[in-house]
Amino acid sequence: MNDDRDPLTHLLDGLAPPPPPARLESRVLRAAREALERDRSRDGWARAWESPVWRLAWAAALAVLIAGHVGLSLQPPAGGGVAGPPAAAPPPTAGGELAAVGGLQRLDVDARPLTGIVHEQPAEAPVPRRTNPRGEIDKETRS
Amino acid sequence: MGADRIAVARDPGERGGPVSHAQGGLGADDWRRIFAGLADGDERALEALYRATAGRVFGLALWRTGSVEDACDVVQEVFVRVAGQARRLSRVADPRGWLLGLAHHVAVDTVRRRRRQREAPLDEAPFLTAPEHDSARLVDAQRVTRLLGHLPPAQREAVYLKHYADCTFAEIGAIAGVPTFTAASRYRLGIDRLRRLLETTP
Repeated sequence: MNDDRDPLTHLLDGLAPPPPPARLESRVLRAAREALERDRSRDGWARAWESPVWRLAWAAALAVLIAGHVGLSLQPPAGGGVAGPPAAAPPPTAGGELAAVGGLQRLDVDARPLTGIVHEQPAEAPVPRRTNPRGEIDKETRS
Repeated sequence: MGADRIAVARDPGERGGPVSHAQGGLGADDWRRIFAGLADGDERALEALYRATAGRVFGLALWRTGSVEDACDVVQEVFVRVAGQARRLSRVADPRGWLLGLAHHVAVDTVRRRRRQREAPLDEAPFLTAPEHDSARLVDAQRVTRLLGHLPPAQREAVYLKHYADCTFAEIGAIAGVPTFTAASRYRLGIDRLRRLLETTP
């Protein structure tokens, strides 16, 4: 394409876009000065809050928190079994306080265990087996 | 910061006459000084930025929206946004591309918003002008303006950026948020269509 001989290019070269209207300058500069003044009067906190970078950082931090929360709550229990309801879940490994309670030193080494206080129901006395004259065990007392 | 340090040339797009697209544009030091001044809250930097870039921003907005009224709104919105984030401007790597990209996005938003609200047709935007004393050129300007009205806004924008803002296809792609190939394709499609219209339309 040889633009030097192109009548369209010659036509465009001899013309120009119109200038902006003269009245526009004062209008634009007045509005821009107000914007400049607003920008100057904003404090650091306002600028930080309006900063896209800060907003992105806030959004990213919130997303990480939510993802972490969801990830932890969906994590399967150790051992691969199906997790039961929280109340039925096995108690966690005893902490230091619980271990200390379990390992209390006994005050009286001769003390009898609490289970001995409760009287147990005596077992039913076995029925003596009777034998018949031929030496066989009677059917009624066989079991 | 002294006013002389941020005094820059007025955008050729504001002179009212034909613009050579090779002219204009701020150097890297000019941009740095203006953005540093804005970061310090210097209103003179705002004025310097307007004088240096308003013509280009207005032209881009006009060619994208097809309405002088909308283009004025876009220019105002662009400068309000620039002033509102003046402290962060020092981090902008390509100030001119960033500013034109901002103008592009604001213009696209404006067109979407107005499309829902507007019932009356767009005003006939004078996409191109010529010196008043040159009657032949004036006729040409009116004719090309009519032809440009037939182009889709994206193609019209690519033609503007290439021809009047002196942007490369890579820069046009960055401004419009499209790949370089798409930007080049839009420009070529727009130019080809303009040529056909020029041949067939009286």
